[in-house]
Order: sequence, then structure tokens, then C-alpha cells
Amino acid sequence: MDSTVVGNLALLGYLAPLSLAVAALIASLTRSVNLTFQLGRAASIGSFGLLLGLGIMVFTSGPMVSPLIGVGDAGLALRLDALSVMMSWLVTLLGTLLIQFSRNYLDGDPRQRIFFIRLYLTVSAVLLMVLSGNLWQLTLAWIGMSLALHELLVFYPERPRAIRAARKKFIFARIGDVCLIVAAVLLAQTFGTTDLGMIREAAAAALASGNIPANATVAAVLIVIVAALKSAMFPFHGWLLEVMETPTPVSALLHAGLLNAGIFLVVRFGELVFLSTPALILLIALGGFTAIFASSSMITQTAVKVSLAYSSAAHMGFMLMLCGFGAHTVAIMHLIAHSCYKAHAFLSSGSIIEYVRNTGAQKLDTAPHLLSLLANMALAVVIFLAVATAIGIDITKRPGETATITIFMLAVAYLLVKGNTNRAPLYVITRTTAMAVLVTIAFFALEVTAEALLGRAIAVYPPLNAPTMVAVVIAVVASGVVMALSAFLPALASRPAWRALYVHLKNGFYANTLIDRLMDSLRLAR
Amino acid sequence: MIVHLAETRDRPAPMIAAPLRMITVDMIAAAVRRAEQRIAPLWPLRYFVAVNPYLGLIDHSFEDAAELLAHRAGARMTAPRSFYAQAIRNGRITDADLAAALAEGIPHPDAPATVEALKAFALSDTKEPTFKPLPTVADVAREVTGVNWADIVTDAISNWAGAYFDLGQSYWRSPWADLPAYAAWRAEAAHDRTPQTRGVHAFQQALRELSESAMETIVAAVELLNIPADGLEAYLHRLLLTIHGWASYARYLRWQAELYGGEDHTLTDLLAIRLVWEVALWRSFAHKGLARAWLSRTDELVNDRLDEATRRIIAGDLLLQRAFEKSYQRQLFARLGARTPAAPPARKRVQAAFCIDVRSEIFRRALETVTDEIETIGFAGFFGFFIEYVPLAETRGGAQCPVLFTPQFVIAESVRGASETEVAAAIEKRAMNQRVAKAWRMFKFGPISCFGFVGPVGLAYVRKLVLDMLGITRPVPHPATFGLDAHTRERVKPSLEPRVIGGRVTGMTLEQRVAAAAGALKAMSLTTNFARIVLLVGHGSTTVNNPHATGLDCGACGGHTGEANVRVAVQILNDPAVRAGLKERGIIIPDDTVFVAGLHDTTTDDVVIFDKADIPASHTDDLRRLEADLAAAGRLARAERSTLLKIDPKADIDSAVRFRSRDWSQVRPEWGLAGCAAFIVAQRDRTAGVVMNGRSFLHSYDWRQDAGFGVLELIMTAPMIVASWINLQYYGSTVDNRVFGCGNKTLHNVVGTLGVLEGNSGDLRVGLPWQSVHDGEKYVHEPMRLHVMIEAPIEAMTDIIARHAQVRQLLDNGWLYLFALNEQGRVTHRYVGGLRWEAC
Repeated sequence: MDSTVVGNLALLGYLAPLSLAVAALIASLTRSVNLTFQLGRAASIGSFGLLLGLGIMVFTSGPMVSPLIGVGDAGLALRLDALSVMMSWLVTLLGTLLIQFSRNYLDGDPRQRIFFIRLYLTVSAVLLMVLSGNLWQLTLAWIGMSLALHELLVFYPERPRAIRAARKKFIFARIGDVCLIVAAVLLAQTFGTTDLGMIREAAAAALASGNIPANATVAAVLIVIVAALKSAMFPFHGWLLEVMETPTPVSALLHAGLLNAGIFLVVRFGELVFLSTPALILLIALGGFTAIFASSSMITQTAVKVSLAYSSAAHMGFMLMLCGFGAHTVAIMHLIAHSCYKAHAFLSSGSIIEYVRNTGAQKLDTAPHLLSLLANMALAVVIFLAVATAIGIDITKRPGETATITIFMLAVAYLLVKGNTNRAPLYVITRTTAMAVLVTIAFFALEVTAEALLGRAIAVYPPLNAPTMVAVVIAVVASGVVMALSAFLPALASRPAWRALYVHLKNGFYANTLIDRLMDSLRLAR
Repeated sequence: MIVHLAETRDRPAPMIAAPLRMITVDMIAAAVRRAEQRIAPLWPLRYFVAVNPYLGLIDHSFEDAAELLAHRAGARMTAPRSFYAQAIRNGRITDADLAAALAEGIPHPDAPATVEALKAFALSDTKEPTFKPLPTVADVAREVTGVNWADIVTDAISNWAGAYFDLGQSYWRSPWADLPAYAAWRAEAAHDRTPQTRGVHAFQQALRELSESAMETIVAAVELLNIPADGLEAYLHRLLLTIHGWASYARYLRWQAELYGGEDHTLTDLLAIRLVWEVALWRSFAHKGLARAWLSRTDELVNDRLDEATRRIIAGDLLLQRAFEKSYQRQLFARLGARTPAAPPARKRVQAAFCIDVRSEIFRRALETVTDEIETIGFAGFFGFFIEYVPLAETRGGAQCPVLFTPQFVIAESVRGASETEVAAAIEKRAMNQRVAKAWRMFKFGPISCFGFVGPVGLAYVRKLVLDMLGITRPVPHPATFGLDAHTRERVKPSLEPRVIGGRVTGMTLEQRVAAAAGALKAMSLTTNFARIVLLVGHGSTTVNNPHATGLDCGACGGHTGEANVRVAVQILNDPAVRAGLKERGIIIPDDTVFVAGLHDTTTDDVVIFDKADIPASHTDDLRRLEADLAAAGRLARAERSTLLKIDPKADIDSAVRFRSRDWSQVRPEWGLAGCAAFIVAQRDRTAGVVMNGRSFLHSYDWRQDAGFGVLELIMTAPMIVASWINLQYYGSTVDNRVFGCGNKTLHNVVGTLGVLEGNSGDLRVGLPWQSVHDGEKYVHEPMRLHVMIEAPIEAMTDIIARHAQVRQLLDNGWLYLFALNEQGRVTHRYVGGLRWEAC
């Protein structure tokens, strides 16, 4: 197809965010909740259909970039490639489901219409962000979606805790905005363009030639910092634990949607991030620490939404760590899977009591014998190697990939340990082993699919230099140690040092408490 | 009107009431006890039963309690004035109602005393009172430092309590959960850096200085903080109200312990914990002016009284509430009493006994509309069978009887038509399925392993999201059937056969069965005239994704569905050996009478019949007709309810109502007992045909059959109390949802599987969600004290009131209304307190 035709076709993509914005506009002029709902749902379903169609074109005939709408070099542009359309499917699908859910959930709330308007605007801004073709649109939509979300977070302005938490988030978000603007300016200066595709190519060329502009590495580190702030990395995770002061669908949208923006940003600038060893190490360090810390803290939490928030922080950390490994396709697949899982987890959080009843009282069960742990780990290795060989993947080819697979293998080993210890009957062993095999197959199938689908839109597995390799190894070993310790937790939990650890973990290592105190002393909270 | 009657009784004569009176340990202990008694228990969500939130205040008059709560909790006891103003404007409250309210006495000498004045008060813009509760050290520290210590302390204690009381949400449980609360808290606090990090630098010092004994800590803190003797109870009560939800849960633990003859000190421990925070704050900020500021505020505790202007306003609001109730009485009484006593009924085709629950009223009326060949009966939905029901593969179960009682029998679930080995196999299979589910759960939520779960499995949730949204699947399988294969699932039923489970003997002996059957039939006034089919209908709700689901189930079954109770009852009552035993006791059940068990789904108004295989072929036709009648009644009931559910009348009402039971986004699957306002104890023909709109509990009772009035005594001390608990729970959740309700359902955050937080932190919440009493435009439950109407000799009722202190307190202090009915169902007398009645 002619490139101008393709470009103009790409402009159609604007209809998606536009339709939601128009729905919001009409809603602000009407008083009918039902009309507001019908319009928004139609816009959301329509957007999903439209983007599905455009996406299929992208997958069959390559990425599409719209012409610039604006003056001179300044203006907006749309980029439809494998990454952005997959993200847009996710956003519109979740948007549709959340709009539908909010119909009955907020029924009778005198401000339900306002809620819908804010929801539409937020989803619209997120769509604009993921479909960005250049730095202008990316930055503006980035700031816009955060501001729109803020309005959802303070949906109940009479709740002091809501205001306080939203304000905390607001501060971090604005720091992130400044970093993003600086990074954008640096990138535009360094590469002489605001087009994301061209920046990507220039960065790839720089990586290949070894001639790396200094400003580019600074920008890469800034991008990582923006992502860390957006995706609630330790010690900036506190706000995430506190923004449940707004209706559940907003939490679902945040945890399944906006929180991912940090990962999306890093992946979008994948080639750029690969240019900078500090950026990669920062990703592994911040992401890895948060993944371990938050997933450990999660199991001490007793309020369902708070433990889900810790879980989200952990997954965000894990994905950023994967980005540090260069496993960007795995990170994106994880992002999509996590979004669906987490949206469901939040929306169904009222079912937790039934869930706990079905899965038995949570007494710490018995710790495995060391030999059992080793045997089950060996079994996990066998399962992984068998599946990988069957599919025909050489898992030692790329170190980043090896590290990624190792961590998934540790997870499956944990499932086997939990299923196969404490004199498990054959029935239980068979079931859990079958589950482990299925999970492994699903993992590899998704990895292969992801690389096939996303391979050209996303950079993967750069050669890792020695310092980065050290970071990777530390992260993998730490994951292994944490997995083993959590398997032995039933035996360890009563020891004095572990009791203290329990208290510190439950309180999130006091990072948020410290920030609270800071906010009070700076009179940032009422 | 004497203010704070009960308190002035406890206080010494005025001349020695100076704040400097020496305080003794005994006085402190007594004040602690009194403060603790003021807190009402909170049942965990797994069996969420209604509780009167004012339970600890029934020794006060309704009016005094309003003032006390305003002062200690900042709570209000009446609806916003605009509500009453609206009722006056649209004529619901008439001048006569206002006059009648005033005629009963004025709660404050300066309150509006004439109809005109009261009307003017209601319609004027007199400000809604804003209450400034009694100060705590945390409150004063906030004023001094500008930091919201009150919230910080509540959050910190709530965060600890969530872990300590957790019933299974966290995997890494508190390592001190087995210790008494205060010891556990101290152990954890010794590690916890939160207070220091937040700036409470003297926290550890306070912790070290104060004793390891909760009571000693309380005594020391009271002395350190210079709490005046006369303000002590008020102060301690106020402190407990800052952690009201957790205190209520601790009060529940005590309730349960005492019910089984034990004791529990968790509530005292919580008070000690709260006091350590007071001391720590006081120590940390003493030099910043807190010490002085606190000292200047302690006399507010002694002078535990609102200012006159506020009291006047409260009194006015209470008068309006009373007038609102008068208007209901006027309309209700007008509808009653039109019946002429029916001749002794010929043998009906079916007798159908339903729970007294207000939701049964709509269904019973619908069933009576469908056919006059069915007689309906009202009785507490556990039908007199006090059982603990143990599900398959478990060793303990819930108590399926009103929470005022303990179960008498343990009944185990079993499988119909299965041999002992088959049952054992089903149990083992279920236990193993639970184990697999648990391993999967640990994989899903384990550190590191959660990543391995989400990556490969997460995408499958797209399907789940869509199916759950469409109501095709449940977000989580129902616990009642989880882990059972389809074939077993259809066959589970209660077993009366003796068996040993978890070291306890389950089942019932023949003697026990006969005694239970006789007791139940007598209590139901059902000892003669048995129909061919006697249908016992328990009830339960069907909702998904609803933390408060069990609150919609049967309160008389302790927050469970009535299924187990009716199936047990029917098995016993159909047993020929039992019938022989009953005959010896003078109850003759004809051979062609068959008892049938059913369950009324209050969300969908469908009734299912259990154990049809046990119904003899001779009754197949009767059963078929009955099922058709029940289906027709269900349709009528749904149509009646659809207005309140705001279902479009042109839509398919039946499927719209049923969808609510599967809709995971539905915050009002049904209206529960919202609207409950009356409790009628009489034979059904006294009220038959009267449209009560699902607002009345209906208890069948024939005093002529009740020699010695034992049944009446039971009704007035159990169902009446429980109904008033339910009514006042709705009342509290309506008039002050912040203090006595659990807030907005869209913000609910289940903690420890036992309760909810509203938002991400704060205190555990009690009572009902706002969505359960309000539809967004108006109250669906309008604040209304319960109107009890009993057809029985006045002397008999008076005698019972005189003998039961709790009943008398409730009535004399105005927590519910009592009226006497005559044979026509007309209201003849009104109980006015002090064991006196007035004709009306």
C-alpha cells in the first residue's frame, strides 16, 4: 500500500480516543446516567472493534504511522505497531468491562455520571498515550492520563484519606512528568527528531556502532526513573497502597492499566534503554528489589485490596526487572496477563471470603524436607528442559532469556514443593504435577508467540556487559533464595529474627511511613 | 426528663463530685467494665447476623442515648431534618402526628413544645448539629501539632488487629496470634518502628514503662494522664469508640465465650493498647504544649454533657422522629382490625411454615393470593432445631440457631444412598481437592512464584472476566459445593445417624428427636389440624461477590441458610418412630401428613423442595400442585418487589430479578430486611390480606393454646429481641452510617475474612452498607423503631415484661413499641412503660 494511504488510514486510530472523549463531552451536557453509560459503552466497544481491525492490518502488513497533525515539527502523531495495538486492545477491552461493571456497581451514586465522564477521559488519555507516534503526544498524553486518573482518585472528595493519598501520588507523578519532559527534550536534541520510530532506529544504530551519545544514556536513565515513579517501585510505592479510597473499578483500572505505563514506556524506548548500562542495572536493582520485597510483604497483608496492591507493585517490579534482562517481549506478555488477572482480582475482591473457605484455613503448613525441595526443583528443571526441547528452544542462547526462564522455573518448583510435601496423596501429587506441566507449556507457548507477534516492534535481549551480567545473576540467585526461604517459612516463622522480619515486611520497611511524616512536616497534607 | 439517668446513679453525691476525688483501682476496673459493656458485638462476615448497635445503651432511654452518643462518638440518632421536613410537606406527618408525639413528653425543657413550634423547627433552616466528641490525647495532640494523630492511631491499631484477628487471608500469619491480644501487641510493638518513624519518639519508652498486664496498664495510664474519676467511664468509652469496629469484634469474642460459659479479655486488651498510644503521644509531645493542653481539657470529660443549644436541637429531632413513627402507626392501625375471626379452618391442602422474616410476608401473601387452600404459618426460620451443621470433610460447622442460644446437637452432612465407604471416599476426595486448591493458591500468591502463576495463567482471566460479567460463572465456586463432584453434590444431605467427627458425637437419638419435634410443633402452635402436606420453608439469599452475603441469609439460623434446619426437621417429623413418641405426648400427626422441606431464595423468590425422593408416591400429585403454586407465588412476589428494585415494568421482571443473584457488580441484589417496622404475633387470619409491603415480621401464635404462656415468654424473649436487633441495626445504619454502618460498598476492603474496611485503612466497620438502606434517591429503610403487636392477654405480657430485665429495659426506655391486639387484629392497647398500658 502507498505510504500516504497507510498514514491516513492510521489517522483512523484517533477515532478511538476521540469517541470516548466525545462520549464524555455529551455526558457532561446531559443528565441521563443511562445515556452516559450507553454512549461510553458504545464508544468503548467501537474503539475495540476499530483497533482490532487496524491491528490485524498491522500484523499482516506492518506498522502504520500517521502524518503529523500540527504546526512545523510540533504536533501529534499516531503509531500503530504490534506493541501499541496490543496495548490498545487491552485498554479498550478493560475499558469496556469496567464501564459495564460500573453501571450497576455505582448505581444510585448521585455522581455516577461524573464518574463515567472521568472514566472515559482516563481511558481516552491512556489510548492516546499507548498509540503515541512522537514525543509530543507521548508526553502530553502521559501527563493527561495522570491528571484524569487523579480526578478518579478523588471521586469522593469528602474522604480525607482519599485526598491525602491522591496528593501523594500527584507529587510523585509531577516529578515523573518533569523527568519525562527533560528526557524528551534530550532525545529530540540528540536524535534531531520527535518521531518514536526514528528515535528507536537511531538508538539501535548507535548500539550497533558502539558510538553512544552521552545525552542518550542520560535520557535512558530518566526514562527508567519515570517508569519507577509511575509503576510504584520501592520506595515510591506507598501511594499505591493507599488509593483504594475510590470505587473498586478505579482500582482495577489503575492496577490493570495505568500502572503498566512505566513498563510500556521502558519497552517503547527499549533500544534506547539498551544503550545505557546504568539504566539496565537500575531496572534490575529497583525492579528486582521491589519484586522480592512486595511479593514477600504481600503474604503478610490481611486486607484484600492492600495485598492486591502489594501484588501489583511486585509484578511491576518483576516486569521492570525483565526489561533489565532484555526480556521485553516476556515483560509485555506478563503485562497483558497481569492486567487481565488483576482486573479480575479487584472486581471479584468481594469474593475473597468464599475463596479462603474453598482453599482451607491458612495455617502455615509444614516445611518440606530439604531433599524434597531439591527433588522438586530437579523435577521442575526436567519439566522445563523437556518442554523447551519439545518446542525446540535453546534456552542457553541468550543470557537474559536464561535468567528469565530460570525464575519461572523456580516458581513452578514452588508449586511442586507445595503440592508434593507433607505426605501428599498420589491424587494431589498427580494434580499438582499436571498443573506444573501445563503452566510450563503455557509459558513457553506464550514466549514463542510473543516473540513472533512483537519481535519487530520490540527490541529484545541485547548483549549484556559484565556489570549488567553481575546484576542479572544477583537477581536470579536472590529469587532462588527467596523461593527456598518461602518454602521453608513454616519452620522459620517462629524464630526471633523472622518475627522481626515479619513486622518490618508487614509495614513495608517503613518507607511509606517516612514519606507520610515528610508530607506532614512539609504541610503537604491537611 | 432526667439526663443520663444511669450515670447519675453511678456517681456519688454532687458535693464530693469534684474532679480531684481520689481514684482507686476498683473504680477504674468498674469503669472499664461499664465502658466495655457499652460496645455491641460484631459477628464476622462468615455468619453476619444483625446486632442492635445500641445494645450497651439500652439501660438509657432512647433520648439519653442520643445525647450520649452525640457526645462520645459524634453520632446522631435521627435522620437529617430535611427528611422529616419533607414528610411534613408531603403530608405523611400530619399535625395530629406531631401532637401525638408531643403528648408523650418533651425530651428537653426548651425543645419545641407545640405543634406549630415543632413544625417551624422542622421546616426552618436550623443548622444540623455538628458534634464535637469528647477529647482524647490523640485529638488534643492533633490540635497541638497539626498532625492527624487520631487517624494515625486508629490506622496503626487497625493494621495490627487485622493481622492478629485474621481468619485466613494472609499466608504469613502473625507469629503472636496465639497469645492474648495485649501480649501479642506488645511483642509486635517492640519490633515495630512505625511510631518512631512517624515521630512518636517516646513510644518504646511508654511501652517499656507500662505493665505487661492490660489492667495494670490501664490503671497506670489513667493515673499518668490525670483522668478525673468522674470522667473515667466517658473517657474509656470514647477511646473504645475510636477503634469501635475492632472493639465490637472483641466484644463478639466475649459474647461467644460467655455463651459457652467462658470468659474473654480481648476487649480489655484493646483498651490497654489504645491507652498505650495515649501515653506515648502524651510523652512524646508533652514538651510541645500537649501536657498543658490536655490538662486544660480533662474537665470536659467530667462535665460529660452537650451544650444546651445542641441538646435542644437533638430533642427537636427526636420529637420529629417520634412523630414520623406516629404517622406510620396511624396508617398501620387503620389497616388492621378489619377481619372477623374465621371459623376453625377445614383441613387445608397444605400448611406452609415460613420464617418470621419480613421478606416472607410478601411471599406468604402471594401464595395466599394464588390459592386459599394453603395456610401459611410464621415461625423463626430455624424451626426450633438448635443445630451445628458440619459440612462434608470438615470437623466444625456454624451454629444454626439464633445467636442468643448455643446449639444442642451436631448434625453432619452426609451423602444420600451412599455406603459408609462411599461417604468416606467422598470426604477424602473433597479434602484432597481442597488441598490441591490450596497448593494452587500458594503458587498464585507465593513470593516469586506469583510471577510464575500470572505470566502463563493470567491470560485465561479474559475468559473469566467476560463470563463473570455475563453472570454465566461465579467469580469463585460456592463453598457449599466446592470440591464435590456433580454426582455427590446432588446427594448431600444432613444425617441424623450417630457418628463421631473430630472427636464429637453427631446426630440425634430417638428421644432427642421426639423432644425436639414436640418442642418445635408446640412453639409453632401447630399441634392439631395437620394438612396432607406440611411444608417447612427455610430461607437464604443467592448473591455473588458480596462480602455481606450471609447478612441476607437467615438470622434465626445464625447467618446461614435455613436449609439444614428444615431438612433435619422434616427427617425427624416424618419418622414413624418419632410420630409414635409424639403421640405419647399428645400430638397426633395423621398418617397421611407428610412434612416437606423447602428453601425460599429471598433474592429470586424461587422455592426449591429438598429430598423429593423421600416423599411417598401417594403425595406426588399434591407435591406437583404445590410446586406450581409456589412458582406462581414467586412470580407475584417478584412483581411486587420489582418496584423497589427499580426494574423497568416493561422488562422481563423474572429474569431481571434472577440476574441480580448472579451479577457480580450488583451492590443491591435484594433489599434484605430493609423497611422492617412491625412485628405481629397472632394467628395469620388476623392479618391475612393486609398488605404489609414486606415490612412486618409475622409470628404465628395462638394464646388459647398456650397454657402458662411459656410460648409467649419465649416469643417475647427471643424472636422479639432478635427482631428488635435487626430493626435497630437498620435504624443505626440509616441514621448514622459513619458510626453504625459500614459505609460505601464500592469502597469495601475485606480484612481477615471477618469484616470490611472502607477504603484502604481506618477502623473495622460495623453494621450495614449504605447501599443496603438507601437507593441513591431515598431511604429504602426509613428510620423506624419496631412496632410489636401481640394478641395475648395484657396481664400475661405484663408479667413477662416484669420478669425479664432486658425486655423491660428495651420497652421502658423506648427502644421499641409494644401494642396489644384483639381477636379482630385491632390494636387495643399501647404499652407506656412502667408495666402500664393505655387504651388506644
